[in-house]
Amino acid sequence: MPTEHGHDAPTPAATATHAVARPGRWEAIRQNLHWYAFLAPAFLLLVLFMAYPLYRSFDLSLYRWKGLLPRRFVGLDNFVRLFDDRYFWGALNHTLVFAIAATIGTVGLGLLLALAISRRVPGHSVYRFAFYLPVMLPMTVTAALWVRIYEANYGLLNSALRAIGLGALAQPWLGSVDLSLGSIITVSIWQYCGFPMIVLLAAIEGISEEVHEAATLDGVTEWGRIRMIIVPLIWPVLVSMTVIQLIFSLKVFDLVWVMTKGGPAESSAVLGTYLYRKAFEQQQYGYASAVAVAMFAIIFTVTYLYYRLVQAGGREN
Amino acid sequence: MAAAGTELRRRVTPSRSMIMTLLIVWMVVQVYPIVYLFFTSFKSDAEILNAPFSIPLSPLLDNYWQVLDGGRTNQSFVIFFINSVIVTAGSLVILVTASSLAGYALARGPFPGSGGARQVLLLALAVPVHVLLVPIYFFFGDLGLRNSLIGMMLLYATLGLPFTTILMRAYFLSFPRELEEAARIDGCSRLGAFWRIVVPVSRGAFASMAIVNVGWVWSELFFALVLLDRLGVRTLPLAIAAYKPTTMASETVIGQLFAIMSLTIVPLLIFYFLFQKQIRKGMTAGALK
Amino acid sequence: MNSKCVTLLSLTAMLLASVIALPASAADVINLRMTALAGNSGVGTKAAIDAWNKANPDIQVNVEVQSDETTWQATAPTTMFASSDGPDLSWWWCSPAFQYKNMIAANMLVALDDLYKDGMYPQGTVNYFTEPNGHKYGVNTDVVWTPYVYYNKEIFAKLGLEPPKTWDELYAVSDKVRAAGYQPMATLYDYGMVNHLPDAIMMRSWTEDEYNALMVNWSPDAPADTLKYKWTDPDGVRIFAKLKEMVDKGFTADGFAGFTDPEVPKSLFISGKAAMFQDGSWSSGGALSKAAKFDLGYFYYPPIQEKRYGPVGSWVPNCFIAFADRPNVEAAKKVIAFLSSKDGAIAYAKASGLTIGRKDIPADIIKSLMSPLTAQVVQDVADQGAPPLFESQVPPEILTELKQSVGDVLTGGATPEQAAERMQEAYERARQGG
Repeated sequence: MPTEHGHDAPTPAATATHAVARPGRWEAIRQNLHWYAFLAPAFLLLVLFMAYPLYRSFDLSLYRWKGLLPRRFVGLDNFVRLFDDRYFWGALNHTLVFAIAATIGTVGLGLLLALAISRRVPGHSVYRFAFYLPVMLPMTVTAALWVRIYEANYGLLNSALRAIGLGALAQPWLGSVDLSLGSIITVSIWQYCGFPMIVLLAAIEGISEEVHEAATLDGVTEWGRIRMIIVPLIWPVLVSMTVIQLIFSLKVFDLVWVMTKGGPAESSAVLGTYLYRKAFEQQQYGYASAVAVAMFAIIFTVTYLYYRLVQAGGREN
Repeated sequence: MAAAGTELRRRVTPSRSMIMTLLIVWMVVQVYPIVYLFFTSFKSDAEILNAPFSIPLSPLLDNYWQVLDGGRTNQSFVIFFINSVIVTAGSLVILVTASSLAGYALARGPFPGSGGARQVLLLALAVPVHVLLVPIYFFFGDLGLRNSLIGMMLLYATLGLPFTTILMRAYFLSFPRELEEAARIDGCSRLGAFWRIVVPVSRGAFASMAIVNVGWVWSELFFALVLLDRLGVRTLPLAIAAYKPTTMASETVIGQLFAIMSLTIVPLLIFYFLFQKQIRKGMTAGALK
Repeated sequence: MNSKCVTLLSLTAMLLASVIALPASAADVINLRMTALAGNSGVGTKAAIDAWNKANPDIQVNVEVQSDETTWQATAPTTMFASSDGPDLSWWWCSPAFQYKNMIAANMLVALDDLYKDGMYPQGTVNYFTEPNGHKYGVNTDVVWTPYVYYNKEIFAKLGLEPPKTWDELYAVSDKVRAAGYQPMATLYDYGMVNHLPDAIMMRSWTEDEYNALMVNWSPDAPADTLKYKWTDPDGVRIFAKLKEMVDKGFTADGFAGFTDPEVPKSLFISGKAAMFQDGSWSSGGALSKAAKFDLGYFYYPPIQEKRYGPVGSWVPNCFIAFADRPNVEAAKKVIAFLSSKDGAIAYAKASGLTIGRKDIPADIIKSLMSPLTAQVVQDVADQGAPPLFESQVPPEILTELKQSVGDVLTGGATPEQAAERMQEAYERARQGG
C-alpha cells in the first residue's frame, strides 16, 4: 500500500486543521487509508515514471558522461562550470524575459478577451470557439507556420506591412539578434492566450447576477466594475492561471527550438534549448543534468516566491 | 448581465463597436494562420512558392493522396492515425482517472501527507522533462515498455498528472460536499460516493481536462521519436517528422508536409468542437448553481 | 507382426525426423533490422537492400527509415544503438561529431577490415576509416562535397552577369542583383551560413599545412609539429574577417539569420526571388533543377590565397556500420559486404542520386548514374582535388564552438579577433581533456 513518498512531512497547516479529537499520527493514517488508495494510482505513476528517472538524471549531474563510455565522478564540478558559463546565464536571462513577457501577454490578453466576450457581443460563441483553436495546434505546426509568416523577404507579415505602406517596419524578425526572442514570445502569446481566456471567461460568468445588479445600482462605471468587482472575484483563478503560464513558459523548449534553435547567435536561446544542446548535440549528459537541476531549482523558486507574494497581496485586497 | 448591459449602453463606455472591431481583428489574426495551413495543403509546390498566401486557385488533392499512400513514411497514414488514437485515448483515460481520484482526495483532505503530496505535485510541475529521456529509455527497456503503445500511454499520463491533478483538486474544492455526505450517510463507501455521486456530475470537468491535455498528447514528438522506433507502433507526429526537410533532401515536399499537418489537426478540431458544450458547463462547479 | 512393427517404427521415425527438422528449416531465415535516414540515402539504402533481399532469401533485411534526422543523429547512439535489441546494422555518419569514435571505444561496432579490398576506395577514404588501432569499423556509402553556389542562369543572363572569379566580382554581382530587385544569396542558416560557408573560407585562407594542422591539433594526441599553428594567427583571423565582409557587403540575403527551415531559402531560389543558393553536391542531382524550372549552374567561392588545394571540401563519413552485441553479426557483415560491392554501390547510387565512394567503377557507368551537373561536379573534384571537410575530423564541442563563433561574427556580436581567440581557447580546453 503506497503511502507518503518519504520526503514530505505533513505541513503544520494540515495537522493544525485536524479534527477536534486529536488522534495519534498512526491512528490518523489508519483512519485515512481510503484516501491513500485514491492517491495511489497517480503517485505510483509519478514515482515510477517521473521520480525515479529524475533521480537518475539528477544523480548524473555529479558525473561527466558522454553517453556511451562509463561515467566519471566529478562532484560539483559541473555546477562550477555552469556558474562561469556565459551561455548559461544568457539562456537564463532569455528564459526569465520569455516567461515574464509571455505570462503577462497571455494572461493579460486572455483577461481582456474574456472581459470582452463576457459582454455578450454578437458572435461571442464564435469568438470563444476561435480563440481557443490555436491552443490545440501542435507546436511543430505552429512553428512551421510562423517561420513562413516571419520570413523577411516574402513572409506574410512583411508582405502585409509593405502592402499597406508600412514597409519601413518590415524587419528580419527571426534573423535579428534583437528581435528573435520577442518574435518568438509573440507567437507564444498568439498560441496560448486562448487558454486563460476560456478559464477566466468561465470564472467571470460565474459571478452572480445579484453582485452585478448591486453594483449597477450603486452607479459603478465600466472600468470600476472591472477593477472592483470582477477582478477581485476572479482573483484566485487569475493567480493560478498566471502561475501555470509562468511555469510552462520557464520550461519552454519546442517552440524556440523549432523556430530558431536558439539562434541567431544564441540570441533566443532559453534554458530548455540549452539543456537539449548540451545533452543531445554535444553529448555532455552530465553537464546537461546540472543544467536540469538548475532549471528545476529556478522554476521551483520562482513559483514559490510568486505564490508567497501573491498570497500576501491577495490578503491585502 | 443583459440588464446591466442595457443600463450601460446609456453611458459613455468603451464603445461596443470598438470592442467588436478589436475582437474581429484578433480573430482574423488567430485564425488566419490555420486557414493558411489548410490552403497551402491544397496547392501544388509551384503555387506555394509563387502565391503563398492566396486562396488555392485550383485546389488539388494530390498532396493528400501522396501522404495517405505512405509517401515518405513507408507506412500507410491510417496506421499512424490509429496508433495515435489508441495512445491518446488510453493516455487521457488513465490521466483523467488517476488525476481525478488524487485531486478528489487532496480536496477532501487534509490527512497525513496531503500537504506534502500537494508540494510534490508542484515540484513535479517544475521538472524539465527532456532530461528524463535517457533514463526513461533504458528503464522502459527493462520493463519491456519500449515500442509499446501501453508504455506511451503510461508515460503521457504521468507527464500530464501534476498539472491535471492540481486542476482537479481546484475543481473539487468548490464541489459542494452535501451530496457526498448524503450518500455516505446512506452507507456508501468513499469510493462509492465518488463513483456514484461526484463522477456523473463532473463530466464537464473531465471533458475540460481531456481537452486541456489532448493537444499535447496527440502531438507529442520527442519521446515518441526515441521510444517508438519500430514502424508499426509509430504515432502521427512521427509521420509529420518524416516530411520535415532534411539537410540532404532531394525533392521539395512542402505541400505534402502541410497536407499531413492538416490531417493531424482535423481530429483535434473535431474533438474540440464536439466537447465544447461540455467544457462550458465544466470547469466551474457552478454546474450546480 | 514384425513387418507391422517395422512399418510403425519407421513411420514414427520419419514423423519425428520431420518434426525436428521443421524448426531447423524455419530458423534458416535470418531477419535483420536496419535503420537508415529519410531522404536520398534512405532511398538508396532501400534500393540496395531490395536487391539483396531478392538474391538472398535466407537473410532478409528490413529497412526502417527514421523520421527525424536531427533527433536521430542526437539520440540514436545512446539509445537504440546501445541497447541489445537495437538494429543489427545502420547507415550512419562515421565521424567524431556523431559519436562514431565513442561507439568504437565502447566496443559497439564490428570490425569490417575484411570488406576492404585493394583499389576499392581512394587512399584518402581508406585513411579516414582506419582507426589508430588499425581496424576499420565502417564502409563508405557515398561522397558529397560542399559548398557550391548554385545560381539562376536566367537572372544572370538578364542582368548580363558572369559567375564571379574574384571577391570584387562577387560583390559586384550581388550589388547588381540587389539593384534589380532580387535577393543575392540564400542558404540555410544552421548548416549553410555557420558551417559550410566557413568550411570554404577556411580552405582559402589557410595554407594547406595550416589546414591539415588545425583540423587535428585540438586533440591531446596531436603531433607536436602541428601545435605551432593557431587560430589567432593572421590567416585564422582572416577567416572571420572575410565572413563579416560578406555580410557587410550585402552578399547574403536579407534576414539570412532567420532561415531556419531548409525549405525557406530553397523556395526563395526556386521561385526566382533569390539569384543564388548555397548548398552541397547533393543538390546537383535532378531534383533541384526539376523544381527550379530554370537553367541553373554553380560556381565556387573565389580564392583568397594563390595556392588552392581544393575548391570544396569532401565528406566521406557517410557509411554503413554493424553492431557487435547482436545475435547475427556474421549475417550483418555479409549484407554490408554486398552493400559495398560494385552491384550494391551502383544500386544505392542509382536510387539516391548520390555519388559513389568507390573508385573502381567504370566511368561510363558512373556517368549514366549522374545528372550532367553532378558529372561536372565529380570531374572538378577529380581535377582540382577536395580536402576533407573540417567537421569530419573534429569532436562536437569544437564544431559547436565554431558555429557559435561564426554566428557571433555574422550578427555583429563579436569581432573576428575575438572569435579567433574563442576558437583557440576551445582548442586549449580540448587538448587538456575537455
